[in-house]
Amino acid sequence: MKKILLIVFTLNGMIFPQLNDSLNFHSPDNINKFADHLYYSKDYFRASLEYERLLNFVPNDTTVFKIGLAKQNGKQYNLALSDFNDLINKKSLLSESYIQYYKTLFLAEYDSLLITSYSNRFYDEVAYHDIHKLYFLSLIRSGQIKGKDFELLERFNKEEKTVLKRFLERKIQPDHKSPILAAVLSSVIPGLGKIYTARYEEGIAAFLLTTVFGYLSYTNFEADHKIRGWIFAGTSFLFYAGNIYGSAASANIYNAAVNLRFDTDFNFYLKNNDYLITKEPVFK
Amino acid sequence: MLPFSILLFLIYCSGFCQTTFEEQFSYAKNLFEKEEYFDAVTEFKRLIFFDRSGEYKYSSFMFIGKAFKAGSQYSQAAESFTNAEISSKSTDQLFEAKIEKIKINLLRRAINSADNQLTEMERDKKFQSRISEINYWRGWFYIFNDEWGKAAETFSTIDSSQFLKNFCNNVEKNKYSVTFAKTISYFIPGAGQFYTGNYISGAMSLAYNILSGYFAINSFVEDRVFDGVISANFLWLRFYNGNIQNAENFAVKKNLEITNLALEYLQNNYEGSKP
Repeated sequence: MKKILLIVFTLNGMIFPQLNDSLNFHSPDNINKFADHLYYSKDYFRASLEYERLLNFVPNDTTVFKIGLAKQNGKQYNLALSDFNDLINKKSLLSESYIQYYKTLFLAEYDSLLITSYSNRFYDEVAYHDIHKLYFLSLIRSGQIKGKDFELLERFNKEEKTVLKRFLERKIQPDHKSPILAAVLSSVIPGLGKIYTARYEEGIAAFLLTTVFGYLSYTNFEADHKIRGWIFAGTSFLFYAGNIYGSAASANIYNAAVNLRFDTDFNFYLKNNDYLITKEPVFK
Repeated sequence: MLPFSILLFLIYCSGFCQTTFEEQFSYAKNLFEKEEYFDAVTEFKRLIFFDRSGEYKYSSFMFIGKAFKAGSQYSQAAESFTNAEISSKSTDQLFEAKIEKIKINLLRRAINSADNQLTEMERDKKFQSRISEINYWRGWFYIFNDEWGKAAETFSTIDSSQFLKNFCNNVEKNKYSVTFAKTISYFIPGAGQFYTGNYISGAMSLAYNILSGYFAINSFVEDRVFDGVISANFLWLRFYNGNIQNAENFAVKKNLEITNLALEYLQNNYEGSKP
């Protein structure tokens, strides 16, 4: 009987640590599982903290890479850049790290940094291919594209090429309005500058107000009501001058809206197409 | 002896899982009580992830929702209370989750959603035994919807809410009548501004109307009909309309100040349940 009891407690002792381990929420394996779960639930900040905890138990470059990705998705771009840079310096997960480093630069809209740090020293053809694409996209967004750069369009497939060409046209020849021309037009005919910047109602209102108050001023001077004449003349002048300034401002607002529309459309297209990156990171 | 040992062993093993989850729940709850909301949410999420039986799901989602609410992250709080609703295992749990969601919607001024949820609960036979609680939150809905009179009426049906009834009645009495402010401005320009205590604006409004009216009438008297029409349309009418709009805006603004003060008082001094 004693032997049987001994066997029972020995078994108990053997099984217990296993159970203990499988239900230890803070074992490295469980931290990793939980962190992956947080990442896929898009709780990126908590995911990055859990991966960092995991690093204390098991230093691992894949975990550093995951931290970088979590920070990139959580819009902590500078921290993500630092993580990917560490991996590049260690030559670990080199092509993936390079792609994500450049993708982070692109997401953070560090276009100048991306363009200047771009070089041909890449690990494999896929990374090379993707980084060229990101470089080209940065050139489009920042409007720094030059003759030879157009050759990079060949890196994209037919459908992507068609869309990108349209974006390029919008960037190179934007539908902008000249603030000076708008001001000149409004100084010749009140409200014309506003009509030029597609603000038709404001243009008509400005024309009516300026001329009507001008006319009132004229008739009051004629009827020898000098004070009223000056009041209406002053009002008319205020509308006239305000309209000239308003037309120039309206052209600037119009141009800002054109630029904003371009940025919104461009970013929306890229986001929906995974930034045209071929090689996506896969958790191992 | 042997069967006893085996029994002991089995109890020990089966009870272990329970204990571990219980410990994790207590740990997370303790963090919540210490107002360490970020860590509390992480630990409750960890518990939900590992607790495959779903035993702690409802309570954990409720705590997560409350933690997000304490951090003013209302969208995430609403999402957690929805998850709590889905995980609820009894009518009482479902009721609590739904009420928490209504409170969040009131706080984030999603008034229509709160209204729809309350209507749904009022019609649901499951909750008829708790109708006075639903009415209580209906009263709060009226407060947040700026219908203080209706709120007072609703609270009057609940014995324990007489303080809120009187409070809402007082707020309703103190508010300015927007219609009255506009109407008196139709008859005497500037009067609506005087009624809301904006004396300088009222005096200026009156002066503008007298001056522009004089310009218009004088032009007609001197047979300068076109001048008269233009002055009446572009000056007098503009100032007259502006005076009415101004009176309305002042009344609305004053009412907003009054209701904001009332809400602030309730937030800081009312000790009963509140959103």
